[in-house]
Amino acid sequence: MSEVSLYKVYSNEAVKDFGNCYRNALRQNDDYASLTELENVETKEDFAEALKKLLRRNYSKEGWKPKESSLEEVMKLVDNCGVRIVRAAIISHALTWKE
Amino acid sequence: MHWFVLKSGMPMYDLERAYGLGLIVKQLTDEEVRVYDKGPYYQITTSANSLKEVRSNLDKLLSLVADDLDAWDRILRTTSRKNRPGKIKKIQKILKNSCKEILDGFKELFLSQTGSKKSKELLTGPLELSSFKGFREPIRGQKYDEGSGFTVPEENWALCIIGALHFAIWRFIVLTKKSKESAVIIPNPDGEKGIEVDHWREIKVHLENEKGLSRVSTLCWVSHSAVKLYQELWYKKHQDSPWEDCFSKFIYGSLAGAAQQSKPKTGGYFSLELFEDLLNNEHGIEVFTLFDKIFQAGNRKGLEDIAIKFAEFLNVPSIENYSRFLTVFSRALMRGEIYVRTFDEVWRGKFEENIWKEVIRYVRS
Repeated sequence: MSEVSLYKVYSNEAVKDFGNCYRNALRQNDDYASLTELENVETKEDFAEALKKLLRRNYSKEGWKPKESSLEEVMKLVDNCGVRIVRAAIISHALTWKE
Repeated sequence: MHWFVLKSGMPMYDLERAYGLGLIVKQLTDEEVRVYDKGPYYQITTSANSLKEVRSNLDKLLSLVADDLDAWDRILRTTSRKNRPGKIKKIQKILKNSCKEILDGFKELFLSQTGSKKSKELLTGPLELSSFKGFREPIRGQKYDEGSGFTVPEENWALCIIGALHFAIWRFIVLTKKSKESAVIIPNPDGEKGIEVDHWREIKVHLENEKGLSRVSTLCWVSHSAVKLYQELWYKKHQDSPWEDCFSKFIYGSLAGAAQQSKPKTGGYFSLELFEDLLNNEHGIEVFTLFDKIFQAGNRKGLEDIAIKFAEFLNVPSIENYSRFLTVFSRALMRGEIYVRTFDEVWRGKFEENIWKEVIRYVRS
């Protein structure tokens, strides 16, 4: 696993895509459970499970679902950089506001 | 002109001596006086070619150790009240009689080790936290002994007191009804730009009068002070005659009341590397303002974790500390507990993306 900076992962489009999903889930749907689950993931399997739950919970919401390619890209990032960096990058996006 | 203070290994004592010497030089010249940390020693530099005569500036020098300074109570807190006037008189006498010898003694790097060998003074805890314990004596086969107090040449002791009086910031931190501590910070200069003596004295007054600094723990107070310092430095850097001062770290510590007297509780270095980087960032002031709001949010009962985790993150901006901060912050955000009233708005935990991005830039993985 290579040492990649958080900033680099944070700037990745796929991470941004998922970050937006969490942000919308949080702000529009009060879906705090998904964010809490993501905070607690330690392994790749847990991470995939947390994403799956997020998508399932917010399945009916139109217009803000992540792209399929983003899902593949995020899982690749987890392989390359580790769970903790990708997790921190996605949560950072979820907590920030875009004007 | 240059003077050198060779480090002895006791960080507060060394830094206070350097500032004390810088302050004496400042009283004898109208030029800028800077203190630099050059690794094994501190360097004091002025652009003046000669200093004014000590005798004709004695009043100015003695004003540094005037009897009525508020800081005496903090510096001499472990000295009994009846002995305090005697100590103050002694420092005034040293300054009056040996000022020139002190300045000459630090002209060369290795001369600074020489000092009065006969007259030594006890280095007390508030001047150097590590001196509380003193030196242990050999105890094998003998009665257990706590060790003798650490003594230093009286000229060095006087310099140390002058530095501590004018450069250390003390703050009383009430943790609970029964637990209180007295915390201290002293800024350490960097090796290239250093700190101008009068600049820090100006900022010190600003920081001492600052209301609403985090008092959750010593580290929180130190971190919040760093935020306020850099907010002020930002404006100083962008004024007509910009300041060029550069800090490397805060040396901090705290004393807590024990049964008989105060004892050291915590101590260490608080790195200012992140803040120095942000000072040169175009969004620097917005980031410092956001940091300030986060500490204010953590000042409320039940949200102390926010201030604690954020202070840890600012001290060591690692991915682990960042994740811990995000966890406690998001919990409070979800519960809708973040509420900071500023003069023009109410802040409810909103991180602007373009500003927070600048913070993420400095997280080490």
